Amino acid sequence: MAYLQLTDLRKSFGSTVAVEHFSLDVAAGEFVSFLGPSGCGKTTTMRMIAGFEMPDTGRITIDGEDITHMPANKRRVGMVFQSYALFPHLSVRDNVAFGLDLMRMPKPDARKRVDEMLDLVQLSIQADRYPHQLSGGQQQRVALARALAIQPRVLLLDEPLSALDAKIRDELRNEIRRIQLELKITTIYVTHDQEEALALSDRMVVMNAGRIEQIGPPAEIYNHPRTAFVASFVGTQSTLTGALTESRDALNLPGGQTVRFGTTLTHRSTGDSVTVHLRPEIIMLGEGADERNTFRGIVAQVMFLGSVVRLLVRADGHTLAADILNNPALRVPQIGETVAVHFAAEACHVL
Amino acid sequence: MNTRTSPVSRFISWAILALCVAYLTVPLITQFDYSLRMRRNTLSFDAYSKVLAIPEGSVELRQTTRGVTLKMPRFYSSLAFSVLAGVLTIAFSTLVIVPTTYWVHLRLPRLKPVLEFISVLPFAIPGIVLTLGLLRTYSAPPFALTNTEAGTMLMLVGGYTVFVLPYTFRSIDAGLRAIDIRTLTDAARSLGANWATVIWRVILPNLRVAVISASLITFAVAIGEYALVNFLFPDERSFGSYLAAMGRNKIYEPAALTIISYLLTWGLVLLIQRIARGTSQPSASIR
Ligand SMILES: Nc1ncnc2c1ncn2[C@@H]1O[C@H](COP(=O)(O)OP(=O)(O)OP(=O)(O)O)[C@@H](O)[C@H]1O
Ligand SMILES: [Mg+2]
Repeated sequence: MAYLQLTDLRKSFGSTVAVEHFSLDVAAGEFVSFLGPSGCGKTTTMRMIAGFEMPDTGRITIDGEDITHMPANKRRVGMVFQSYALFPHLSVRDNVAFGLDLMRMPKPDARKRVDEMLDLVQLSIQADRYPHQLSGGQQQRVALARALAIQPRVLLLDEPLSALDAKIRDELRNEIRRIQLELKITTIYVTHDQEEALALSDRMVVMNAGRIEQIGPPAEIYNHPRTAFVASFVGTQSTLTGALTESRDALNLPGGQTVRFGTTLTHRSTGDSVTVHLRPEIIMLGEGADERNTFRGIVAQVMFLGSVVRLLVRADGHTLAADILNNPALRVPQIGETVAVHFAAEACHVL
Repeated sequence: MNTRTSPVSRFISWAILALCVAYLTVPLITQFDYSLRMRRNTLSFDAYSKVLAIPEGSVELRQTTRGVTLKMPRFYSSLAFSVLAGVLTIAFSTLVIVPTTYWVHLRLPRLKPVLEFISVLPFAIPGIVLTLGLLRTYSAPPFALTNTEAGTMLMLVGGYTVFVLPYTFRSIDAGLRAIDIRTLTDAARSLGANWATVIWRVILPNLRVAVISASLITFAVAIGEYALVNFLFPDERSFGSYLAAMGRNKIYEPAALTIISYLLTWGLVLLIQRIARGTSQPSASIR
């Protein structure tokens, strides 16, 4: 039985439907992230779990207990906000102790718990400072310690890293995962940064316009997107759309070229419009062997991304993104140069 | 663009400024001068000692049928009465205005204009009309508040709360705008706080400066107010009544009292600035 269970949640604000048909089972200790574009309902779903919004319909249970209509302060669900939301008038220590104090935990026990939490987020020496004396990253650590101190049944994080610098963001991201694994705490993590979601999660929920598009582990979401939205939202994609051939294992592009893909689409008929999705890492530079799909085109853009160099190649009216692994000896093609790119039929993802 | 002002316009600016300063200070200076002239042909603080003096035997604890009462010179007893009224008003208006404004900000933002309209009504309605209206309504049945001492005090406090509403509301409204009440509330709620706890332990401490400055204005009003308090307590036990009585009966003392109340008010203003500076920390939070 799932630990956290969301069943057919729906929430509307006036005439806007923020979330609907949202069902999700989260196992104890699992790290699930909600990924989706702005306004797709991630925060709204999270706020329903926290008890800040009441769903119009649907049910929320934690460990078998129905909490759908339980007030937020009774739920023991910890929350970390993008804006940190530390209490400005309290020291770091008192911020972390706030929830324990409300639980009427005896002072010595509370003190011990606070020390443990500050230790966990590596902020023990800043214990007596005030929030305004801390950096953004440190403030967010305090917020995490504060949420964890009450030993919540579920931890919710709503874009906790969005307000931070790239460097701090990576550091804190790893730390959140380390702590989550150490405490085995059931966690929901909202983000619109796909890299973050892919790196951290046990499972991801990709959302669009208030609905779930796909639920699955990062590798499955990335490699086997089930909808065009997921394919294009997660990772960079090139797409080629054409008419299905008679053999139903290839398509003809409007320009005349044929693209073979590894599977036979038995449930589609000849002439249907079909789209293949191509990840940049499967497209290689150069002339491919006969069984591979080869395109010739002009380099439209060169992006140096560090570990890879991304080329945008315009061929036949299509733009194909190809990543080449960087090394110091690499000769990077120039903009305007004519190049060939190729990819394996099996690497095509057809939707 | 004209960046240099001509000597003429500069002279005019200075002249206007000087006039304003004179308008405000000349009466004060003449009052001060007058207050020092109680003793003939020489300057002295006699008027001040008269007002502030505590003659022997004038302070006395008395056991009466109504309990223990403290008798003291009128300057002190009336000041104490008005300070008490001020303190009660501060407590009462904070208790009413903070939760109301907070709730409107958080849950009923559409009612903000209504609240603002109500808050400026005491400005728009002449004080005497307010006073008579309050008296008419609450001293008659079904309220009949003036029948008991406590009820009368409640009416006074309620009246003062209305008189200072434009200031207190504005101050607290600005204070609430300055903090992210929505997220702070959510954070506190998720940590187990009920609504009363949220207001008492999270919102109020972060409104410290706003509440204190509202309080000091309330205080100043409570100490100087005459009309309402004189209707409610015709025995002239308030500081306002005392000032008025002095003005009727004495020559030099009222001038001294004017200076004393002026200094009291200034003390309060300085206190406001002191406290506001003490807590205006640079906010490191990200918007
Ligand atoms: N309190 C509210 N009143 C009215 N509409 C709201 C409210 N909260 C959210 N919405 C609407 O519901 C939809 C979903 O909002 P939500 O905040 O859940 O999106 P999100 O996925 O968290 O987006 P973002 O990535 O920008 O944070 C949006 O269209 C939003 O305008
Ligand atoms: Mg959001």
